[in-house]
Amino acid sequence: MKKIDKLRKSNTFKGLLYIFPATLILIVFKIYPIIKSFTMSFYTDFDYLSGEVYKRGLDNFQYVLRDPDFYLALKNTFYFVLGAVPLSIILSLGFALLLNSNIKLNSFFRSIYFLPFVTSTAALAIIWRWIFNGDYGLANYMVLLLGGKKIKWLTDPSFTIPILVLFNVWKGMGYKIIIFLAGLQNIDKKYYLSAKIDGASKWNIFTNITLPLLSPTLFFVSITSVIGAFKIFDEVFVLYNTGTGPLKSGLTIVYYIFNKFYRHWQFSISAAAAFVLFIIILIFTLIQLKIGKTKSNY
Amino acid sequence: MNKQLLSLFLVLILSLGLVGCKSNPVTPVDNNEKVDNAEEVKEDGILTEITNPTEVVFWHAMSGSNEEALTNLANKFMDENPNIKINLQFQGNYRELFEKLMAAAKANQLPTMTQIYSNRLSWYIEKGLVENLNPYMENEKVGLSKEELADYPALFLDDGIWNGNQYAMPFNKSQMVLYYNVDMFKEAGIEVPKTWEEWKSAAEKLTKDTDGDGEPDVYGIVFANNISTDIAPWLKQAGGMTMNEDTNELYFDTPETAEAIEFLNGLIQSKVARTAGEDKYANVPLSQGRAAMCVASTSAISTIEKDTLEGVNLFAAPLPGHKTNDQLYYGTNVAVYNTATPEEKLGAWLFSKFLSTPENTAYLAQETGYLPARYSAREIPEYKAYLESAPIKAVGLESFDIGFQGTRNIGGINALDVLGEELDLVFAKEKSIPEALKDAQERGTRALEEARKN
Amino acid sequence: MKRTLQKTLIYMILTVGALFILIPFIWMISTSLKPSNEVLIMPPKFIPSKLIWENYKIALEAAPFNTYFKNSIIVTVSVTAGEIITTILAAFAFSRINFKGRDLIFTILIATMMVPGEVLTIPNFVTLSKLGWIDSYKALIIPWCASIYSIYLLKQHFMSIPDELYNAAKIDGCSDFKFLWTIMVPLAKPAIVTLIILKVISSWNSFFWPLIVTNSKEMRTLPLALSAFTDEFGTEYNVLMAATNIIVLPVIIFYTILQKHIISGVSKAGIKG
Repeated sequence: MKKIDKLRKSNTFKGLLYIFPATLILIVFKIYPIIKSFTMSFYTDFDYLSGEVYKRGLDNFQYVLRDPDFYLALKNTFYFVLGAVPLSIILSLGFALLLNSNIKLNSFFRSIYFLPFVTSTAALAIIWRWIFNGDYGLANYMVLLLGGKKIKWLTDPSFTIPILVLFNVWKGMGYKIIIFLAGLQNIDKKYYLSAKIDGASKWNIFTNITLPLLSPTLFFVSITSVIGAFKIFDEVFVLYNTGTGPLKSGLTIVYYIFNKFYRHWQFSISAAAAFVLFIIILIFTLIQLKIGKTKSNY
Repeated sequence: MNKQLLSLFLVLILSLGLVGCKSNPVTPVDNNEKVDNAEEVKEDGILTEITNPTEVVFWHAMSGSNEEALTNLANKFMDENPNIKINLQFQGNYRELFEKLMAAAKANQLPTMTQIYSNRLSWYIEKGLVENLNPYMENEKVGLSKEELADYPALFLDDGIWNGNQYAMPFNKSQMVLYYNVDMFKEAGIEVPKTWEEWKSAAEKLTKDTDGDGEPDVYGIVFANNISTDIAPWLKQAGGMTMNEDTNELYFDTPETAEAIEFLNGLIQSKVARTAGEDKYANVPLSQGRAAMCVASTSAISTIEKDTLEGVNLFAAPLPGHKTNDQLYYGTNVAVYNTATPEEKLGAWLFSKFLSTPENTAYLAQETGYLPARYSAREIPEYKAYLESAPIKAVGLESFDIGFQGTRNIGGINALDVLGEELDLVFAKEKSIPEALKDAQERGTRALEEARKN
Repeated sequence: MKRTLQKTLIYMILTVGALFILIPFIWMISTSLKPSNEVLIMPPKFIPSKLIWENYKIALEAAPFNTYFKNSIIVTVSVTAGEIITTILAAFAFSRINFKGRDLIFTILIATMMVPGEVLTIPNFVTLSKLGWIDSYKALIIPWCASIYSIYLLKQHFMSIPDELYNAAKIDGCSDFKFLWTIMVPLAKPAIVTLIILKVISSWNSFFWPLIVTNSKEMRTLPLALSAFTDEFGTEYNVLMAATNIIVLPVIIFYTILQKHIISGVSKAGIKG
C-alpha cells in the first residue's frame, strides 16, 4: 500500500513538473486575465482605469440577457455554428481522405488547399467582396450565365450567415485537412491490409477501420471547431468592412462583446457577455464530451 | 529517474528564469529629476524652460505620406529644439490607436501626447488624465499671443475646450463636402446645388438608369455607410442638433431631426441617392462615373484623385444648406497626458504649438490634403501657389466661420450608433421614421447613461 | 478500368476544389500588378491594362522591411520552438502520467479556449507592462509559448500510441523522459510537424498582438507593414496585395517543404507491435 502511495506521490510531482512550463504561461496569460474579466462582469459602478469599484451586482447580466441585440447575436452565432461545423468537418475529412490516397500530384494539391489558411484574412476578405459584389462580382456573373437573376450576396441580410459559413469553411479547410492527414498517419497500415485480404468494401473499411481509429482526431476537431465557430468574429469584421453586415445580420456574440468593449467602452457589460458565451460553449462542449464517451474512449 | 528529473529541473529553472524578470523594476520616471525641477516650477504649476534632454513620446495614426510629413515636421522641431527628442510612434489606424490608448491608460503607460478625436478624449478628461494647456497657452514665454490665438479658426480651438480649459490643440482638420462630377453637371445644364431643394432636383436629374432594369446605373448622390456618425450637419441645417453637451440630452426625436431624416430618406427611397454599400467609400462610385455626387471629407482628395478614372473631372463644394448653412468640420487634435513629467509636458506643449504654426500647418496641409488650422496659413507663399495649382484643396478653407465640429459627450458615439441602426431600418423600409426616432431617442438615452458607469 | 475511373474522379474533385481556392489568389496577384484606378473598377478587370511592377517596389519601401523581417523570423522561430517543447512535455503528462488532479487541470485549461481572446488583451497588456516587457521580444514571444489547443491535439496523438509500448519500455528500465523523446516524439512526428506548421503560420501572420505590445519600429513584425497602405479614406489595394504576396511567400515555401513530413512520418515510424 505504502509503495503505491509513494508511487502516486512521485507521479504527481512528476506530472506537475512536466506540465509546469505550459501551465505557468497559460495561468499568467489566460487564466489570470479570464478571472480578471469575469470579476469585472459583476462591477456595476466603477472606475475602469483605477480599478476602484463602487457597486457590485448582477445588473450587467441583466442588461445582456435583456438586450435584444444579444439574442440577435446568439441567433446569428447558432446558425453559423450549425452551418460551418458539420460542413467544414465533412469537406475537410473528405479531401483529407482523397489526398491521403496514393495519387500523383498529392503534395501539389495539399499545398493549394492550404493556401487560404496561410494568407491574411483581411486580404482574402477583399477578394471575396469582389467575387460576391452584387453588381459586378464573379459569383453573379456565373448566376447570370446559368440563367438566374443577380443576387445581393453581401447586402441582403438573409445571405450573410451563408456567406460567412462559406468563407469560414473555405479559409479553414486546409488547416483541418492537415490535422486529419496527421491523424490518418496514426492508423496502422496492417489493419487495412488484413481488411483487404478479407475482401471488405471501401465503405466498410471507412466505417469499420478509418473512422473508429481516427476518432481521437475527429473528436478533437469537432470540439475545437465548435469552440472556434462560437467565437467567430474576424471573418465578419473584415468581410463587412468593420461593420456587422446588413441590418446587423452578421452580429455575432464575440462581435457584440468586441463592440461593447472597444467601441462603446462598456467594459463590464462586455465582460458579462463574455461570461455568458463561456457558459454556452461549456455546455456544448460537455454535451460533446458525453456523446464522445459513449461512442469511443475519448 | 535522476536523469529525467534533472532535465525537467532544467526546464523548470529556465521557465523560472523567465518569470524572474518579474523582479525587474518597472522603470519609474526619474524621481530625483522631478524633485529638482519642482523648484523651478512656477506657481501656475508648469515649467517654462527645458534644460535637460527630454523625450516626448507622440502616438499617432498617420501612415504613408501623412506619416512622412509628420516625421519631417518632427525633425524640423528637433533641429530647433535640440534638447527635446520627439519620438513618433505609429499605433495603427484610429481604432487601433484608441484601443492601445485604453490599454496604456489602464497600465499607467500613457504616452506624453497623442493624436485623438475629441469625442474620445472627453472620457480621459473626466478621468483627470489630460493636461490643461491654459497655463502654457497664457504663459508669456512659451504661450500664444492674442493675435496668434485669433488666427486660429474658433471652431478648431473650441473643439479642444472643456469647461473653459484648453485640453487639446488642433491638428489634422477636414471638412465634410459635396464632391461632384463636373461634366455631368455641365451636360445637364445645372448649377451646383446650394439648398436642399436644389440638391434634390439635381440628384433627380442626374440619376440615370441606362439599362432600364430599375436599378440606377448612375446615382445622383452617394452617402457614407455609417451616415449617423456624421449626421449633425443635416440636423443643424434643419434647425436642430444631435445632442446637448452640457445637459447630456439627446435630440433624436424632434421635428427638426425628423425633417432632416425625411429629406435623406426621401432621396434614398426615390432611388436618386444611396449609401456607399458594397463600394465601402462614398467616393468610389463617383471616381468611376457611377455617381454624380458624393458626400465625403476634404482630406480624401488625394485618395479620390488616385482612384479616379481618366476622363472623369471632379470638383467639390460646401454642403447645400437649408434653414441654416452650417458646415461640419472634423479631424483629430493633439492632447498631452498629465502622467508625464513637467519637462515632458512642456516639450509636448511646444510641439503641439509648433504643429499649428501657420507655416507648419500649411506644410502639413500641402503634403496631406488636410486643412490648415490657421487663417494666415493661406498667406504662406508656397501654400498659396499650391492652392492655385490645386483649387479643389481650397474649398475647405471657405467655411471656417459657418463651421462646427461634432459633439463630444461621453457615450455620444454609442448614442449615434443606435440612431444609425434605426436609420438602417428606415432606409430598408422596415420601420417608419417617427417610430425609429422614438426608439432611437429611448435607446440612445439609455446608451448615454450606461456609458457613464465606468 | 474501374480503378482508372476512380482515379479520374478523384482528380476531378481535387481539381475543382483547387480551382475554387486558386481563383481568389490569381486575383490577388493580378490586383498587385494593377494601376490604382483599375483596382476598384466595376465591372472588374481580371487582367490589368498594364503591369505595374512598381507596386512591389512601393510595398517594399513603405516600411523598414529588413527590421520587420528579422523580427518576424526571431519571433516565429522562438515561439514555435517554445510552444513545441512545452506542448510535448504537457501532452505527455496528460496522456501517460497518472497524477492527482490531472483531469481537473486539463479541463480547466480546455475551458480557457472558450473565452474570446478579445477580452484578454488589456489585462495581458497590464501584466506585460508590470513585468516591464512592453516593446521587447519577451512580450512578443513568451505569452505564445504555450497553447492548450496544441497540447490537446498532441495528447490525442500520444494516446493512440499503444500502452504496451510504454509498459515494455518501463520494464526495460527506460525512463519516462527518455521514452518520451526517443519513442513517443518520433511516433507522433506527423502531429508535431502539423503543430509546427500551424504555429509558424499563426505567429508569422499575427497582427494585433505585435501592434499592441510594441511601440517602436525596431520591435515590429512584418504584418504591421500592411497597415501603411490603409488610411481612413481608403486602401491602396494594389500595393497592399503586393505586400501581402511578399509576406506570404516565405510561409508558402516553408509549408511546401515541411508538409511532406506529415505524410512520410508513417513509413519510417510504423508502429511495430
